[in-house]
Amino acid sequence: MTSVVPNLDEGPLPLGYIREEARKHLVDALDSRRGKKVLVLDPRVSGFLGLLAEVPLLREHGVEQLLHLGAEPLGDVPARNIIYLARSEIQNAQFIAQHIKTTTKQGGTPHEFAVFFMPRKTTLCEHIFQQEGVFGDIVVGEFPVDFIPFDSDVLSLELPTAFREVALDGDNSSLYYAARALTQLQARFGAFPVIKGMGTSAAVVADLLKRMRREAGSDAPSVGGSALSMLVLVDRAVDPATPLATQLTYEGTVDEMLGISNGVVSMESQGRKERMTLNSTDRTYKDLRDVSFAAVGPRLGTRAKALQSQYKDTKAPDRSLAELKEFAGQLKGLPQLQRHINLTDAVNQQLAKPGMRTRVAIEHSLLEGHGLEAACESIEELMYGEEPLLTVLRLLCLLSFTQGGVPKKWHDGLRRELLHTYGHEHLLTLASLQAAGLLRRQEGGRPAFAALRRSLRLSLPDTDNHEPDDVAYTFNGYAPISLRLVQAAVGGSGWGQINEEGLKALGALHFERRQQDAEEDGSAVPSTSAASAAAGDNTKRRKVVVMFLGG
Amino acid sequence: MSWQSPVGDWDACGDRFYEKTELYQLGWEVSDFDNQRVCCAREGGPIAVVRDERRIVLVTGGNTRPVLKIFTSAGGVMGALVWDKGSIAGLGWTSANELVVVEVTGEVHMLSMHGKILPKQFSLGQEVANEGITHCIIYPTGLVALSASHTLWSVSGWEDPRPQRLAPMGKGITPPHCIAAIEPAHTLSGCVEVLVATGDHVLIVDADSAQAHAHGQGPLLALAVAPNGSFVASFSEGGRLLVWTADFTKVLSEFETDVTGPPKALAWCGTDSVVVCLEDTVLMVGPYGDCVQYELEGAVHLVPEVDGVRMVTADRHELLRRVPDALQDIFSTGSTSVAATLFDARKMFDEGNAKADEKLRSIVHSLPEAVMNCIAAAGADMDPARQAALLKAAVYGRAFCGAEAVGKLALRDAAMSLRVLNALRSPEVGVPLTNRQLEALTVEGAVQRLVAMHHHFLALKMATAAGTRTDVVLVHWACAKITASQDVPDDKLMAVLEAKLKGRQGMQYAAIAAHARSLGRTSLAASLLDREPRASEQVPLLLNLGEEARALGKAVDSGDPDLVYLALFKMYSARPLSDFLAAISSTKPLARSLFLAYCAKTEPELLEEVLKVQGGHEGLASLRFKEALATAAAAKAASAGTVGARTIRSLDLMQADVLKLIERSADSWGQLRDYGLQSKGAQEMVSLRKLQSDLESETGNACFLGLSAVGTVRQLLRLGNVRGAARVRAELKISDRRFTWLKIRMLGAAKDWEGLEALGREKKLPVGMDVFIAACKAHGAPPATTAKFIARLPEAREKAEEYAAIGMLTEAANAAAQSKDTDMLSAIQGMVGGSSNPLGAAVSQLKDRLSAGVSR
Repeated sequence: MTSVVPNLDEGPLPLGYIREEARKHLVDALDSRRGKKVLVLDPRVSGFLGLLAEVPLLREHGVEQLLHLGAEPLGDVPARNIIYLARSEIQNAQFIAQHIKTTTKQGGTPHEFAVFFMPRKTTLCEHIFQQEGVFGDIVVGEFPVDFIPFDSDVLSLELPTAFREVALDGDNSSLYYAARALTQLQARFGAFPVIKGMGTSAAVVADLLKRMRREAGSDAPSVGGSALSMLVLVDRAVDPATPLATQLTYEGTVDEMLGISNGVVSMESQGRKERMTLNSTDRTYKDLRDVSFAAVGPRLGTRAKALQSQYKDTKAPDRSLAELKEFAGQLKGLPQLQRHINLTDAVNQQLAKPGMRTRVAIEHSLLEGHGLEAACESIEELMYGEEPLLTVLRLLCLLSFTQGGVPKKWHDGLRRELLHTYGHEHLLTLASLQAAGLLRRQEGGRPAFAALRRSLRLSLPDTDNHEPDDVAYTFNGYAPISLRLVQAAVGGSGWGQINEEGLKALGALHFERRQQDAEEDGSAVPSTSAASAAAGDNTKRRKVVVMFLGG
Repeated sequence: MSWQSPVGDWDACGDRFYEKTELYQLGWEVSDFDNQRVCCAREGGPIAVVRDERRIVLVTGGNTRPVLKIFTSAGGVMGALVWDKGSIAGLGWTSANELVVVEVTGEVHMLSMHGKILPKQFSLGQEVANEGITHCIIYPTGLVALSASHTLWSVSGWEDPRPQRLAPMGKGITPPHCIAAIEPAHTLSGCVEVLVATGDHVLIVDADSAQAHAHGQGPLLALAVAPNGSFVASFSEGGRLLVWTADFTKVLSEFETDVTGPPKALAWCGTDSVVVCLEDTVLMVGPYGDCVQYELEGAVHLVPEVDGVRMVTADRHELLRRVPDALQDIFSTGSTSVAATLFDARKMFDEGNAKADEKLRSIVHSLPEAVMNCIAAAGADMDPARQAALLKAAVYGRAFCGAEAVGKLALRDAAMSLRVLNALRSPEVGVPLTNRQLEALTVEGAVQRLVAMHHHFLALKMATAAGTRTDVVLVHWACAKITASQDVPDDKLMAVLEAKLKGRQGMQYAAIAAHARSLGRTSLAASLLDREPRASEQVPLLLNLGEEARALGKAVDSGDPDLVYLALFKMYSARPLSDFLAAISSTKPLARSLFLAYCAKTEPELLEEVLKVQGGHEGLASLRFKEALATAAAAKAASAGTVGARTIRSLDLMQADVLKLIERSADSWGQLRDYGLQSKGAQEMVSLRKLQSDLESETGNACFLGLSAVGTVRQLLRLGNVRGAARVRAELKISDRRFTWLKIRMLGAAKDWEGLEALGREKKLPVGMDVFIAACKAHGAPPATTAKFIARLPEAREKAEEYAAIGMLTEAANAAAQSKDTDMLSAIQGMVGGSSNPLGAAVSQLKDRLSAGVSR
């Protein structure tokens, strides 16, 4: 099946330029070397490269062969030029250095090496090249792409280890890159008049943004006439619960059960492996992606029936040509519909597995805050049943978060059981989770989550999953904290919509800042003008950028 | 201010008017002007004058070396130096108004406009040095040189000049008469094209080819390329002036003079007429063969501009240009245009003449047009008095237009632009730009020019007025101030600089600091750098100044990991480890974290050392544990492919290492609060691995090491080693409940239904029947087996569900009825498929009875 790249200019902001610029940078990188070349891709780049450029484009610019960057040597390379496209990470630099050494040692035709680091070249990578003694043999360039557009309204930095680096290693690089990307977004669309943030990382990013704005001096984008109304920064550490719990929307369930990577899901359908692109270009998907999975089956059914009855109608002799045409147009959606029906089937098969029901039941009781003992026991039994480790870890961390720690009674027992079942090497896993604060022991007092649930109205068990009137349907009656935070940020000034109790329970740094256009002489614009401008904006649709730091 | 009509200075040429305006009287100290080499920069730039060594003159006085002098366009001295280098083949100005001096030997020097030799010298190579240069053309972005052996060399760009040999012009070429260059900006290829007049034709030469054109038209003694690069004028031996398209395929116009021999000068006036200087006349030839003649005395140097040509003679500097349309529109005799009428109206108004109103009324419908034309004319006029009169007319007219009819800011902009132009033209500054030239140069360009001329104050005012960047001006001023204040102590100089620079947005202090450093004022540079807002500029320079600690601090503040690493590596290589570690732990934690992250991925030994020094037990424990896992994996890989006593021994050693490492991580964890489980777990892991090793040697079966505790028990049970399994259970305190679960799952997986049933019959089972049922369902047990376990479920509701799940609907219905679960019954009814069959009927009966019971 051909992959369909998302249409990026249909969303609230025209993001097509990101893809255009990335393509340009890619072509420039390829054209920097003359003649035939081999392109060696960092697997973390190749994943989304498909969203930016197609294979024929690479061929047009002389790419003979595509290889993946890894520990193993390149082997015999037919082309003179070897171009690397990799994230600027230590390991990549080490691999590349090793490649150059072995390839040079092999003799044969001399090769020319060029490395393009994404999103920029770093001292660190160059230092590694110097240490390995290959710095003189490489041309080092940049592939300056920060945000990867996954859909007309979704951008990602694709830094999957960001949370770990910040929470565990104290390495704030990812936050710097986030700020850099946001600064560039502002350079394109204008400055955010208002920045709201929740959590330590949010504050770090906001400070960086301020600093970058100051560094840009008179080149900084202005607030007046900006296409953007607000930036909401949410530190993932404020709400680890949302990604820990099992997602229950259509998109979420597909991701949980089959895994969506780079906007593509791989599934087995009628004995064949099939790849299916999932983004808003697919109308059916656009309509259904955020619907509760429970409601997807019926809706697909309704659509299919509607088509069927129309088909019957067309058989009637008095149909006009125009009506037939219209119907034929709708028929085009039929294969799409069929694919989604296959996809739901594949997901249903996975959902039917025994651990699944227990898992959702445990989550439910943890989030709703009842049946704690039974939940702990169930987690233990999931381990006895040797469910995947990740499932168990997610539940343990969710238990820890919702209860303000794992109850003392269970704390050691559950972890010991984890070691016994999954191996003692996971001591390290447990130590890391503990150090990151995701898995800890309950230390008396009332868990903050209970207060949060009340204050943010997280628990709405009566939400109708089919015709929802609140986001709580996404987790079957539980509203994710992240979304409540965004609702609060967008809904009023500051975080005012959240009451004292809620803010206390969140226990996170929170702030609201206004960015202003500095005058040439450095005097600030009186804040009244900023306020009135914001009031004037109410007529047009506001454009809010929400960024979760840590995924 | 009274003004005079300009018409007296106008000369008709065809249907157009041309005017010759005096820009400046040149009171400069240049003797013997006719024998000087004179080189004027475009767009009103400086003028370089040096004695022309090609001419034989009587040198009197002591110094025989020529003196190179640089003047403003108004003749003000900007700099001078004794030229003690080789003889000069060419002079020219770059776009940044730096003077390029090409020696005959191909040495190229660059001078500032103040006559200072800049450290940008380069050479055209040995070949050129041997042969010598005969012709040389310098254009703002590069140069072209012709060597004695008729080889053309080109340099494009002054930043990284690389001489490039152009295509050979063919054998047997006669010595060229003259050469000209079409600048890269005006060629299709984007590379320079050289026009060489040789024999009776012209060669167009670029890097790849040399093509001959215009055969039989020569010999051409002079060539001139139009400012837009599209036309070329040539002057041939017979006194014929021809205008060509730039590719020499078409003659556009032709003009005969009665002069033979080379002209004194040939240049374009704008893009539609050509000026040729003959013995004692200047001829200006218009596009249709009309001409104007001016008298000439002595030498003249022509400087083509976009809208005219400047003429520099021994005592005056003049501009010859076509009269701009807007001016002709108003001032030409008998003009009845709306703008002229408005201008007259204003004149009458000022004179108190009541007819002013009548005049105004006559053009009331075209007032906006008239106003705009007056504004345009003011912009084009060079005379301040007339400019004022024209603007006044515009103001007068605007008062009678609607508010929207004339652009709100048009007058303000025009006035501002005129103030700028007049300031530039004043003799003290000496940059005689017309408004069209300023447009071509851009305000930024003019600001840069002023800055380079050290007119900082004017530059700042101009940039502020035009709303362009002012920081370039301030940075240049600060650098110049530092250069000029060698004797002023740092703190005083800093105070002087700060007074001007403070509070400016985005000041580039780093650039100023770099300049201070280049003058050896290190501490001044450091204090300047402290004020630099951009860390990416600040940190590298601080490192160069040897201020590593401060650089690291600034890098950490910036949050940019790359800068932190830059500072870290520099510091790491410059200091002993202990100093380095002390420094990174005293700054913010980011530096330490980043360094540890680097070590973890590249130098584990260093990481261990650092952690030991700093007491990072948590990190040490993980590090050792990771090492243990890596060693274990290596041992496993090695054991898979080896036999023989020696390797077995080394394997044993490896395994011993693994245990030692795990024990050490247990120790480290033990030092920490809250890591008791990790510590105990690691010890437990040691005993497990020991036990696994024992089991492997006892059974002779290498299939235990690396398995989890539960996995080990499973493996033992699989092998029938019940005793071993019991041993592991005891050692690791695996609960009865856990063990039973394991057994049930194993039996299920092996489809040993009898065994499963036997286990189910055991007394005091620590697990519920649901576990058995799950194992049955997962592995497809026969319903009879599953049913046995279902029957023993404690709750009727569960029974009903499980029976239904395995298709035993009758039992399900009974159980449902027992638990009074109507919903379940309905569900079962649905599965049965209505009440049409006996079972369905039975179920509905049950349901009825139940509901009757409920209602009763």
